[in-house]
Amino acid sequence: MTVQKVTILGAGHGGCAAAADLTARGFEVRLHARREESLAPLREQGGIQAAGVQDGLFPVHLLTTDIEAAITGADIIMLVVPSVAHGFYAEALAPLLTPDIPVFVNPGHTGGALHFVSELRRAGYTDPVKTCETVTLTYICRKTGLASVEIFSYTKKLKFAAFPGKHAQDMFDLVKPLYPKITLVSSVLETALTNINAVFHAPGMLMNAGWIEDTGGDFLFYREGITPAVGRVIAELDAERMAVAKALGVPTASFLENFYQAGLTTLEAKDSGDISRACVESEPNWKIKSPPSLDHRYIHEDVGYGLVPFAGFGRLADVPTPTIDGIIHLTSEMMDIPYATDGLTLEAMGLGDLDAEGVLKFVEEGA
Amino acid sequence: MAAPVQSIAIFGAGGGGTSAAAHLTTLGFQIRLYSQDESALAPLQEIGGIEYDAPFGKGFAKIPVITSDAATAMAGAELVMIVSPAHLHEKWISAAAPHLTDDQTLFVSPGHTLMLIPHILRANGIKNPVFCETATLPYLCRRTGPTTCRISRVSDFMVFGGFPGVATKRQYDIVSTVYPAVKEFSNVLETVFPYGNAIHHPPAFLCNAGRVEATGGDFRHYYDGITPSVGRLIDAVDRERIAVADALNAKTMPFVELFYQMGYTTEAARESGIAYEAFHQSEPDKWIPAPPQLEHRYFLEDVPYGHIIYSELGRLAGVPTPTIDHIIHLASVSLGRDLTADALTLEKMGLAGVTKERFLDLLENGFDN
Repeated sequence: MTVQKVTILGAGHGGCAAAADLTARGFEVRLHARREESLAPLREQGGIQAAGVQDGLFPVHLLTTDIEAAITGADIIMLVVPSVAHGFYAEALAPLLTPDIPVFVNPGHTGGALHFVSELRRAGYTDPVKTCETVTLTYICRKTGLASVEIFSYTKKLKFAAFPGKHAQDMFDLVKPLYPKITLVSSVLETALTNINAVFHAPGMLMNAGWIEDTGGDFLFYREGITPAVGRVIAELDAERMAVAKALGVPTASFLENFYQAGLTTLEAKDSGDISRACVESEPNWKIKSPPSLDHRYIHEDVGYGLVPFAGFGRLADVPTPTIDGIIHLTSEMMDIPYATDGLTLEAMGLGDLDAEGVLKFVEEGA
Repeated sequence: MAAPVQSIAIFGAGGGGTSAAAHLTTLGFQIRLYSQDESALAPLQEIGGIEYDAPFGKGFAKIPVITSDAATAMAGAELVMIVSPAHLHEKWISAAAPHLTDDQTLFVSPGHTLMLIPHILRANGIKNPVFCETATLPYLCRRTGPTTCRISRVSDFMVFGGFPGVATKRQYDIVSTVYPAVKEFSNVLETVFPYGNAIHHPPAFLCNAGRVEATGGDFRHYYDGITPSVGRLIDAVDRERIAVADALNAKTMPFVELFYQMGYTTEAARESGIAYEAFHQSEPDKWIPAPPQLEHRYFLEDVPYGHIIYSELGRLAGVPTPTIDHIIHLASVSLGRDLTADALTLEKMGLAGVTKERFLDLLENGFDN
């Protein structure tokens, strides 16, 4: 089977970029948003105005807030929303989904596909389901207006995995024509533990919390905020993440290696082993300002849906994660949100009752 | 009945020591100033005293004895006052111990090192050590030059405790003739808990580490750096500290109340009960700049001699201190070295493996029974 009809759930930066790009490339796109206000400017303009990788006004086949209309007849559903919204969409899809429509969680960050399926089951869906995920979004992009998006590039060498893993090759063959830059990796545990946002956003936010709140984020997050001390905390956190991966038998590479492979820093910075330097010398990130407050996905998503599952996998593998635990605990106190229980726990990924061996079997078999 | 205090030996010629020398001279005491740092003493010896700029006036305080010889400094003094950062207690106390006489009162200000001082005194052959301390320095001050110091504030509230606890009252009667601002608490467990810097410096510094390094500390540490979420972290540390104190039956008050009692913040902030308001409404602290780098006592002293002792006492009392423990860990990682290595642990006080009951008995009754 080849994909022709693509349903995109989510009309944010990534959803709009995907809708414009895939329409431009001849796919039939159905774009869904939760609120009509997100779609109205697109209707008015007659499509999405794109710049960068695609240039022009692209009329999307269907714009709808009706999730049933959006998925009817689709060859694949692409879920392009923040991790915190996965649960909402799983619940909405549970009564509508059929086993012949695969779901691509783009991006899955850490445990996105596992979480989506677990929520789907909780909402009463009992049939088989095929899902897959990339670790980060397939685009480097940004919405530049209510109906316009700039697509800087496709994400390179993007790690891709399927859940259940036994369908990995099918899913890869299905998605590859959409995104030729994906590479198939061992399992969703590998994509989960490759989430670099969780590795460096959370320490950056914690150790710049005062600066962010005092100035409304008036500094350059990577260039100024990731200082040597912050870099040392990131390095320690990263070492814990790699130890967890190793203990679970999951292939892994260092933050610096991943950061370099993603085209985000120089070879010299990577080889120096200095994370602060790698961030300071990250040209794509040079102009990126700090978030204006702590109430931001760099904490909500990267702690709750990044570090919390890392810590969960650590407990599963019997590997101590004191730095990860420390950041979870301190940001929880600062935000007054108990991330360790509210975030993406092993239970929330459907792995609550399993030991390490059971988890490895579960991600392969789906049961 | 001890002789009234007339002559005071002061150990330490930094901001605190020189400020105490200046202030107490103006009150009519004879000061004998001691330091092992010859370069700190030489300019003072040359002019025979210290120039001060203080709320009680500006002037020159003549200091009769300025010496690097501990025996000379202590000869004839009724009170021996140690004014140093906690990590120098061992050095100063070891220098004083051989010359200490039974009729001298040993007063450490600030102390808050719990049983470290008795342990050092015993290592120096004093079997039944007696001393007293305050939780905080009597001054907000700096040594501004080779011959000058500035005092911006003289404390009117200091928590005071003695070791052993049964000797607190006797020592209080002596020290309060010099510093009427001391408030009598029961023992040195009660001076360790109100050590304010230990409560708020490590969390505030950790949450501003990036800004300190990126700007060289170009912001106001308290006023700009302690934002609402940083304040919530300080509040979390404080709740753990109070839980530990409660479990050890030590009297202590919430940080915000303490800060108010010390005159550092407003009635409105006191009523809010939250650290963010306490700092944001602190006139004395408002303009204090951030340190220029992380290698600074906010981490180097206030973690190993503050957070770590709370964590140790928590373990002794069976009270978990996760926030404090995580801050210790992350401060160590951010500096790239283990701050627990030279910390004030129970082991370092000669109390490895002590039970809670034995510990409390020692604090109250000393080594004599």
